[in-house]
Amino acid sequence: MTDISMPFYTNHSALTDFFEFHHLMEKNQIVMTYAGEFSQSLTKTLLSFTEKKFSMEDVEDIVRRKIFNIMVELLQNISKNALDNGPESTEHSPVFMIGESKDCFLLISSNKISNEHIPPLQKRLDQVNSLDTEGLRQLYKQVRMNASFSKVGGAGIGIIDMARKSNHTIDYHFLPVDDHASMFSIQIKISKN
Amino acid sequence: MNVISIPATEDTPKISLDPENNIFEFSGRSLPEDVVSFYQPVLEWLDELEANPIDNMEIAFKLEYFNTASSKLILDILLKLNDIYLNDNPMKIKWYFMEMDVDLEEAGEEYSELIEMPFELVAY
Amino acid sequence: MKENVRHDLKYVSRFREHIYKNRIMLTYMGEISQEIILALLNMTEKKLDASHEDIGIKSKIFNVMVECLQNITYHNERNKYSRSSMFVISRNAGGYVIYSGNALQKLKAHELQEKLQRINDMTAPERKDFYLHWLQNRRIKGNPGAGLGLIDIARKTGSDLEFNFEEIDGEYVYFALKTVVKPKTWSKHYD
Repeated sequence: MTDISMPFYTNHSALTDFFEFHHLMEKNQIVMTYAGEFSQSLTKTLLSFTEKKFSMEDVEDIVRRKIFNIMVELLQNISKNALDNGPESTEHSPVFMIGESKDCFLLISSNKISNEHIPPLQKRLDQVNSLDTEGLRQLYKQVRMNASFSKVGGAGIGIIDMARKSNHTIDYHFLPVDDHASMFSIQIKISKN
Repeated sequence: MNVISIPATEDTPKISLDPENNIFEFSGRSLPEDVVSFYQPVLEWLDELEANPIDNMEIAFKLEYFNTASSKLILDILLKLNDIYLNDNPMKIKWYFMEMDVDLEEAGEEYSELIEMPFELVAY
Repeated sequence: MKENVRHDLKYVSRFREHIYKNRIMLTYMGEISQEIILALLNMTEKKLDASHEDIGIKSKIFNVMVECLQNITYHNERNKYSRSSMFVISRNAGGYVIYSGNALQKLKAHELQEKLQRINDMTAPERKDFYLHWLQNRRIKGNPGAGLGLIDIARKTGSDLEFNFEEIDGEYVYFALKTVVKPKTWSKHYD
């Protein structure tokens, strides 16, 4: 018979890192993190993960679609513009995360970009954050009609699209890593209803 | 004899048991949640086979990996085939594994120790 | 629904630091289901293929992952801590490190601990015997895989099982398992 009076074996040292990360994930309500090489084929794999996760919960179709669209945008941006996006792990390898709270989903990406991309990117982000639904719609139309899509990563129509779908402020941060590049982190919130 | 033709899925193997075309093959991955239900038709087919044995069958296993629950069912399949073999029906098993896949090779070796019929390990 | 407060996303830096320090490839926290297991396998496979990992290692990693994660779904009913189940895969110079964690009822945790210690006390030939004996046991009802997963992990990694139990509350205990899959030859992919 099992001896239930015996104390549990607690060997923290072997699993300290695990528990630290567990705590980090729980505290920040993060459900999944992926670090490594981002590509079109990985985008499909991550979308498929999200689909499977949703199949366990009651997520409205419209919310599902928003999340997929935003994910594609974020992931394609990483694939196209991230530096250090290779199979070898570096301090600045791109990271993608999904968070979930009671009321909303969070999509987070963090990747290294060239500093020259920052001004138009920041401008665009501040712009979309300052506009309401109608303002965003107008901006979208305007940028669409103006056929010269900026080649600079993420400063084009993608951000406007994400802002429209998210309907929340887009949180972002640039952290310089050296003279030429910075880590660009972005967090997009989507309400569950 | 019926034909069993089950296409592969993300967690279940492709299974072809086709007497007419002389194809008897298990390939892919096996990790279903409910192994018993998945392999039930195969076990039933083997019961049928016992009553109507086929001459000189060659059954191929080309599995990439399988969970421990599946390993039990695979043994059940091999034991049923073994019973038929011991009833004077020559047949053989071909166990395929990728060259570097030690675990799959070992699994094959362990199965071969548990049954009497000819069991060939094939690296590719 | 625009918020005025902007967050500086400090937590993202903390995540990145931890991810790099431990060379974490993939983590998941939440309920474990068959669907999630398959998705995690897919994502891991992508990562392994990108590093041109050899089939022997890949196969071991998949086996360990499947047994760890299916153990969580097989043996436990959903409980209030199901969303705290966790999976991590990372790689370092020692090999691939796989962690899984989930909450168990106290009695089950005690039984599991006994089992783990028994397995750790066995020699390799004893583990093989145990495995073959269980494999051939025709009298097991219910899930045929029950009981084999842990011994399979121990055999495939050739090492003892490293684990930890932590009491959550009076009723539940959090069980964490660490498994290392070592490549046979040292490769420059691992720094």
